[in-house]
Amino acid sequence: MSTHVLLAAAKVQWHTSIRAPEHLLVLATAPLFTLIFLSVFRDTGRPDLVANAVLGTGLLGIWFVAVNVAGGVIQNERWMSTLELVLVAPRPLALIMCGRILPVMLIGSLTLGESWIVATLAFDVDLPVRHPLLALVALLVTLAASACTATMLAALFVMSRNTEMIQAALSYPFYVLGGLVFPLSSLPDQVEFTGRLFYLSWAADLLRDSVTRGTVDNAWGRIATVAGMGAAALVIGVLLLRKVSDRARATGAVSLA
Amino acid sequence: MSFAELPTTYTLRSWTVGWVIRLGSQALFFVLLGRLTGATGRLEYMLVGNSVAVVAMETMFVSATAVTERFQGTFPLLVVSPANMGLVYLGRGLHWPASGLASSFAVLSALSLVFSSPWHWWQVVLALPLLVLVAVSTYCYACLIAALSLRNVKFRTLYPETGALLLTAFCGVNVSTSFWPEPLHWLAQLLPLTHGLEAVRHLLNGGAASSVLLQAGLEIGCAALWAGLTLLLFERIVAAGRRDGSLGFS
Repeated sequence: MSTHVLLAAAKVQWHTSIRAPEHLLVLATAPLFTLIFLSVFRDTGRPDLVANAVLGTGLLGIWFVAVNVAGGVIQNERWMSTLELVLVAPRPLALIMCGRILPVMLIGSLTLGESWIVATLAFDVDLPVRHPLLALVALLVTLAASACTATMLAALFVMSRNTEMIQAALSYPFYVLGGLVFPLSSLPDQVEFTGRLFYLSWAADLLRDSVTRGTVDNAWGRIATVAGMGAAALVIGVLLLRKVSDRARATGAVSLA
Repeated sequence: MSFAELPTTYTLRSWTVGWVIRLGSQALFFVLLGRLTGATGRLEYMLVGNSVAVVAMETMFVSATAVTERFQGTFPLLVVSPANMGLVYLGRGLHWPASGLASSFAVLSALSLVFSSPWHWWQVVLALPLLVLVAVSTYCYACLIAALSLRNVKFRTLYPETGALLLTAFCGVNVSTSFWPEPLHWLAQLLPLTHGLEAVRHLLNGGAASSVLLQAGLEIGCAALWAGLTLLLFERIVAAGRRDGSLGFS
């Protein structure tokens, strides 16, 4: 029954997103980001940083959809006045949310493929993956952790009055903190410490290492860290969603809160 | 009307704490990328490029302003008014280049200070008129994108986002325009931002006044070109909307 609900929610979101250009926006912007990053690295004679550009664009796309599309799922329901219907449905809101967020994360992951294609076609880049299995596992865990974090953000956004401002604040500052294109170790210690509390910094380092390094230190421990941070975000998200849902039912201010 | 709207968009606190820090972190992201390369002068190059590009990002919000008229149902009323639609829209979002200018200047000043840039503070102040020029030219380009957004409201976020990124990619913000293949290099000469940014670079690097003025003149030419194209496009869109009755529905 839960799987049925999950799939139904995923189907609704998929059909919504493929008809909404704003949900697919990242697919248009990702190739341009790849061009910008690679042009800088090519112009400065740093072919060793190609993986940073390609993987960085993909991670940027994943975080962008987690914040801007998945994070806005409940908010969109509110704007369309369908949030009441979702809340009175006899299934947990968190389950529906997870189903809604999964296809959105798939859109984000497509940016990684796009970036790879742009790098190959426009810059004739050859980027072999040293540890394909590890890279695949790392990517899947990153997507799952992003979906969990998006669940938490979706609940936070509903509690906030200024979602757009928060979404804007969660973009570039977090690209820096997540070390998406440059490693955190290249930043001051305080920034590195703060960034280490963010799952994407672990994911970015691990993905880069799995593509470029001969030996990847403590790979499974790092995967567990990403997964653990994702799980923690999911727990917070589910608790917040329950609180939001209970409060909305108690006050009757579902679309007005 | 445009400037009356500005206080409803930002308070001084939301502009400084929220918006300028957001734009500053965007420029900082690219500056750190430049530092990562370790190439001499790259950090300064990308600092100037991305700080000046901030103004282009902000002028793109004129698309949202234009589309709001559609959502509020006031677009057909503007169309039937006895004025040129393109001119109305060029005036309608003038607060965006103004706030973009302030944001860009704030980001350029702050990052110059943080990274101990080699130019003097008074050179940054002297760059203000050039930033005004970039604000005007990118605003004319942004108005054309606003016109496209009005015609295809579904793409209202796609057009400005890609429009701004195209400028960031090809107008000499992170790499010189000569890096790109010849056709793209020449296309960049017609885009706003390219020459204005080059003028700012000349000024900050202590270049000859004649080269600053030449680039400034070329930026004025680009502004005129994009303003003309915007007026033409608005005329066509309004004519098409009147013809097929799609003014409020496209």
